[in-house]
Amino acid sequence: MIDMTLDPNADNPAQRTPLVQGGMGFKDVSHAVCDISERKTPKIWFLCLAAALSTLGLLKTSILYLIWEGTGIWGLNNPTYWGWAIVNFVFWVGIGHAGTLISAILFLLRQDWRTGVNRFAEAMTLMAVACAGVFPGIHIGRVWAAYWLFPIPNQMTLWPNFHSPLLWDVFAVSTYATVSLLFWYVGLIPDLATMRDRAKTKYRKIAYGVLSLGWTGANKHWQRYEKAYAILAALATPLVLSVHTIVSFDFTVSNLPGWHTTIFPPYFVAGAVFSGFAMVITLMTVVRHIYKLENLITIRHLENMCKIILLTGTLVGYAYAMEFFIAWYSGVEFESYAFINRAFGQYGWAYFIMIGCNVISPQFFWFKWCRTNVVFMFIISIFVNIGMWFERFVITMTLNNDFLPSSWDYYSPTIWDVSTFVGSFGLFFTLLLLFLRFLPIVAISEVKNCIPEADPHHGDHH
Amino acid sequence: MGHGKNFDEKTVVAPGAKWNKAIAIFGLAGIALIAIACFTQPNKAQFMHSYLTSFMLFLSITLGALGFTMINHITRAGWSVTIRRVQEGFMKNIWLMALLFLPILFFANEIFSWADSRDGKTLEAELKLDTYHFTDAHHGHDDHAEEVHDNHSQDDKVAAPKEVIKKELVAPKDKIGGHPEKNRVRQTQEISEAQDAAEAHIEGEEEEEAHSEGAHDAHDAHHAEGGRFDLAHGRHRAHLEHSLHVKHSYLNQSSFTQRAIIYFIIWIALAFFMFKKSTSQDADGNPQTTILMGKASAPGLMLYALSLTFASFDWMMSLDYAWFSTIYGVIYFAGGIMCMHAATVLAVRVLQSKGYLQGAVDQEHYHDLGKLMWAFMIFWTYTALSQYLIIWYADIPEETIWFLNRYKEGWLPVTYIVIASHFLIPFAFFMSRHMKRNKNICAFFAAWLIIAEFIYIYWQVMPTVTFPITTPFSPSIADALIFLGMAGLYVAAFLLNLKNQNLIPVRDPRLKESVNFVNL
Repeated sequence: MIDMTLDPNADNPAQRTPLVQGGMGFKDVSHAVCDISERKTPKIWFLCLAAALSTLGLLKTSILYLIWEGTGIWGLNNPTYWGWAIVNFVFWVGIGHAGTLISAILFLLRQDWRTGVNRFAEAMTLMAVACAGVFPGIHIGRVWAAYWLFPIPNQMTLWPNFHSPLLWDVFAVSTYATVSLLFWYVGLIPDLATMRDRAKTKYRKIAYGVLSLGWTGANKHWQRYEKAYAILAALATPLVLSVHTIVSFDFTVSNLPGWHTTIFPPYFVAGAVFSGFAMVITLMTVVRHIYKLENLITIRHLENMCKIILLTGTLVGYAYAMEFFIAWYSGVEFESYAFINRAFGQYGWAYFIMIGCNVISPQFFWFKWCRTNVVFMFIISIFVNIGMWFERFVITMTLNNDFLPSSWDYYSPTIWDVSTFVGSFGLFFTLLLLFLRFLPIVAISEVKNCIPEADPHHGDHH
Repeated sequence: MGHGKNFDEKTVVAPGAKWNKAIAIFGLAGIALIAIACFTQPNKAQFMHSYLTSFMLFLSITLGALGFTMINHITRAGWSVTIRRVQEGFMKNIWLMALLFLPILFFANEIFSWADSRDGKTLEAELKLDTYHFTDAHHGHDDHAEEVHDNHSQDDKVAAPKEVIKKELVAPKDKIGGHPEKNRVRQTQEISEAQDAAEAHIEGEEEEEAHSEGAHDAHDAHHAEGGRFDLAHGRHRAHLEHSLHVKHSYLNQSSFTQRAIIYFIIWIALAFFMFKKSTSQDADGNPQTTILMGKASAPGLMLYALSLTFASFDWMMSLDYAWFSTIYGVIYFAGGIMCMHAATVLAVRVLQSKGYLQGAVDQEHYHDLGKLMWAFMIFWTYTALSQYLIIWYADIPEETIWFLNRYKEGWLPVTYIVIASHFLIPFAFFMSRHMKRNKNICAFFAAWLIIAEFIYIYWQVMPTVTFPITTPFSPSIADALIFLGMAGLYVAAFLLNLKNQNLIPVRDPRLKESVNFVNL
């Protein structure tokens, strides 16, 4: 028997730390997760939803004013046509990488610890992608023509430029959103059936009954479910990489110094995973505490995520270093200028916020205390979130000192830049709160698989 | 956890004396083949480039093993325990790679066109004489191409009689066989001669009439045609000079040597430490060793990543010293991990056919090794395609030239072979689970991918023999002999490393997990 009371932090290489703590059995797991949505809605939830909806209202107002007035309400200027809209887009898309990475890539790598966090992270992915999707739609200026982003046949025979990574972005992000949604939903089905079976009220019975697609838990169902899950994982894996790769192409295929550098694709992917995991930590530490899920989302889970943050943060640091080295090594004057200007020019402050938050702050996770202290990791994750927003800001603002000194300018955000960005958090948190209230936030059936009793050979010997 | 599967304990111990014969045969054959290669290839520069090609391939396997061993420790991998010792055998081959590096160090000036037998100061001084050109070059390569060219034409070209140009028409090809050293950047003048020859060559083909008419007034002709020929046939002289100038503090023989020493110190220290700890656990079974190796792997991987990156810059990217790519180190890493898994599959397959590792490695391990091989093949494609696409799209002459040089002089078919062998064919035919779980098919694709990586490195290295002029594709028997010779030495050293050792970490705490795991 594996000792269920084993210290989650004990490092005994011969024994895997149990992923479910506190001696929880199958029923306890179901109860711990389902009860969150079955118990009476707490008042604080309504308060949070009200706050989130008001912030969402701010987004709506900002967008309506934008449509009324045009993109001039933002701080755009001559060298910087891409302001906060692209920064926010890339920021949100990046956050939307953790979920599918956890679900798909960690699944293929047989990392069982993902089961505690994958459902939540996937949901967060979808919400982040929804937030990201707002920005390309609104930054085009003529919002009513946003559908022109898609290659829709029309009598004017006007087509988007198929050579443009911006169009590839449309395909990449929409494919990613679709597959992530499917993947998330397929994973939800057995758990929705659990909720249906536990439902007491008529409405819950109908709603979860419809959503669980007639799942009975039959052998055949499980067999097909697992096959579908594996196929979706295999499909989602290249998509995780492709989305941010193509986002990086938006910048790097141009011949602009500071943007045009070959390491961008893997560097953007690493950065996206980095920011996504930071956001998972930010939200997970809070949710886990409020809903008392410490036995399902253990310190070991959080510690593993901290390690991934350390890894990806360091990878991002490697990319910054390579960019700088090659900027010098290339001998291209403009390239060197772009990087020196990035670090020591007008936006030097932003550059050092970026370095401090993205490269320095995760280095604390070398220490076990930092990786296992929930408050500390929450603080670091906030730094990383800030740093990753600034990374995109720094990359975008490099344009400010372009080839023509007379057009050099400084980007100052307006109140509408800020309100649009803050408003996007309203959308994010509104969706998040709905998810927390109505859906199983931990993958019940997958977590049950990690309990020793789930092993068919359990109890055969010892 | 499942239970019940077990391995045959007698087959996981490597013999001592019994392997001596094999070690001697492989070792001597390796030395003999490389020696024969010396005689078949009198051209020193080309020989050394062939040598570098094979060296970089076997180095990538060795470093791949070092990196992957550390990755396994840091991720507390369970499945890979029984194949780890084989990979550690590759990892410890770093001592062999250090020895094999010595010829590269001694003949660096045959390989690297930035290297010069004279000390740096003289080169600097000489380049300063030409300051006029740099000043122009500093201000943008394209816009001023014509202007700079103009000056250089006045210096060298105007006076050049028609006969000289005619004589130079055949120069590029001659130089490969005869006087490769002539193409070294010893004297700036030589670059310009080579360049002129190249230009004359292309003009000769395309517009012979116009050229002969205008030969007496080459100044005007070049002024009009300027950049086009420069960029079509190599670098602009001023660009090369500029590159040499700005990189001199990095690309010179003494700092090249110092860096190489640092890389090897890092690799040898890490590899020997990991090997020693791993084998010491065989004796004492101390679980703390596993934890220690995990802890050491974290900083180890950081040092590893940086040293591998800069080594790939120094030893391959700098062959074309004017070209640069930030992703270059990542591509080399990806190919190395892929090759290392391929080499592991081959080694395990051969060892098992000789009766070793019975029950310790089964089709589940082949399946996983196959998956990783395939995954890193895809990752290689991802990085290599990223590099290509970004450079192709931005279309900056200083960068596209690297690919353009591999489209001509017979290299275009090789380019297609790289794409087919390193991606398309293994992608399509090695995707299936059944392929990976079949030991023989898995071994076939392992050999395939090692050869594909060899071709890829060959494709990067060999067009630079006569840098800055693209060396025509001219495979020689020496390429194959050196590859086989180095493979012989590599196998001999591998057997030597594992002689008298256990072929799996017999007392690793996660051994049971590795023996019993199954792919779902």
